[in-house]
Amino acid sequence: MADVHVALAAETLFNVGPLPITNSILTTWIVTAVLIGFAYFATKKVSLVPNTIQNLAEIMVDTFNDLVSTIAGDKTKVFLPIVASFFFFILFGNYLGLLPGIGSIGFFEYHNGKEVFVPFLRSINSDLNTTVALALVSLFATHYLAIKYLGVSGYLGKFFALNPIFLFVGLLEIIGEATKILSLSFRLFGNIFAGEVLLTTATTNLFAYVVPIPFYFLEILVGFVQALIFAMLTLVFMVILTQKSEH
Amino acid sequence: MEILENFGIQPTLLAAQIVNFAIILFLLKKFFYKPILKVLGDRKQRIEESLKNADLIEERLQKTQEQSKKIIEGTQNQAQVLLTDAKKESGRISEKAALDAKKAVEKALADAKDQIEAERQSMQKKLEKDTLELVAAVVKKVLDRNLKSGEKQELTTSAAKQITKQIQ
Repeated sequence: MADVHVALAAETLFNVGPLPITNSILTTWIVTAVLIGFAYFATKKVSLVPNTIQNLAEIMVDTFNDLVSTIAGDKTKVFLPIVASFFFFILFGNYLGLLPGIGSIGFFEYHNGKEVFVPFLRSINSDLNTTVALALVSLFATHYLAIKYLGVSGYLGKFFALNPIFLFVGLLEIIGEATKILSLSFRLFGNIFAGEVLLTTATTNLFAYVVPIPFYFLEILVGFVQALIFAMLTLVFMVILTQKSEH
Repeated sequence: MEILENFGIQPTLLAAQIVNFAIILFLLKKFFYKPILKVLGDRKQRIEESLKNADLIEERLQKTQEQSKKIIEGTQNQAQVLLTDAKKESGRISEKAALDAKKAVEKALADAKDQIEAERQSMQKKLEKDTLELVAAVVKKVLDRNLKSGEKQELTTSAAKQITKQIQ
C-alpha cells in the first residue's frame, strides 16, 4: 500500500476547456447543491405555522440574526445575508468534508514517477483556492459596503489624510486590509487542512478503529468554530469600515 | 510565486470559487433569508397582536361583567319598586272596589226603598179611590131609595166635596 497523505494542493481530476476540475471544486458544487437544496425545501411552503425543515431554517436564521444584530445594529439587514452565507457555506463544507468517503475514496496516479493517491472529493476549505476566494469576496463586500455607507470621499478619508501622522496611519490601514486576505484565508485553510491531515494520519498510520473518534469530535468543533470565526471577522470588519471615521 | 504554485492557487479556480460563492450568496439572500426573516417578522407581529387582543378581550370581559352586574342590580331594584307599586295599587283598587260595592248596595237599597214607597203610595191612592167609588155607589144606592131628590142632591154634593178634600 502506498503511503497515503494529503497533498497541499488540490488534485486536478480532469479539464473542461480552460477550467481544471479539481476534487475540491467538485466538492464545492456538491456543497452548493446541498445548501441550495436545503434552502429550497425549507422555504418551499413558508407558513406561519412552520413544518420541521422550516423550523430548522428559522432557528438557524433567527439565531444568526440575533448574533449579527448585537454587533451590526441597524445595518443587520444588509450584513446578515453576506455573513450568514459565509457561515453556512463554510460550515456545510467543513461538515461534508468529515463524511466518510470524502478524501478517502479515490485512485492512484503516477505523478513525476511516484505513485500518489488522488481522492475524488476533498474538503472544500482544505484547498487554498476556496479560502482565498472567500476572503476576497469578504474584503470586496466590506469595501463595497463602506463606499455605500460613507460615500467615496468618506471612504477615501479613512485611508488618506493631509495630516502626516494620519497619512501614515492610513498607510498602515491599507496594509492591514491586504493582510486581511491572508489572515482570513490561511486561518481557515490551515485549520481544516490540519484536520484533514490529522484524520488521515489517525485512520491510516495509527489505528483505523475507535482511535479516530475523538479526532472526529475535535474536527466537528473546529469546523463550527472556524465557520463562526470567518463570519464574525467579516462582520466586525464590515462594521468597523462602515463607521464614520472619528478624525 | 512558487509558494502559490505549491498551494495550488490558480486564477481560474479562484474565479470559479468566487462565482460559485456569489451564486450561493445571491440565491440564499433571495430565497432563504428573505422569506424566513419575513415569516419570523410576520409571526412576531401576529403574536404581538394576539397578546394585545387578549388584553383587550380581558378588559372587555371585565367591563361586560361589571355592566351585567350593574344591570342585574338595576333590574332587581326596579322589580322591588314595581312590586311595591303593584302592592299599593292592588290595595287601592280593592279598597275602591269595596267602596264602590258599598255605594252600589246603598244606592240599590235606596232605590228599592223609593220604589217600594212609590208603589205603596200609588196603591194607597188606588185603594182610596176604589173605596170612595164603592162608598159613593153604596151611598147612591141607599139615597136613591130613601131621600128626596133635593136632599139627595145636597148630600151628594157635600159628600163629593168631602171626598175630594180627602183625596187631595
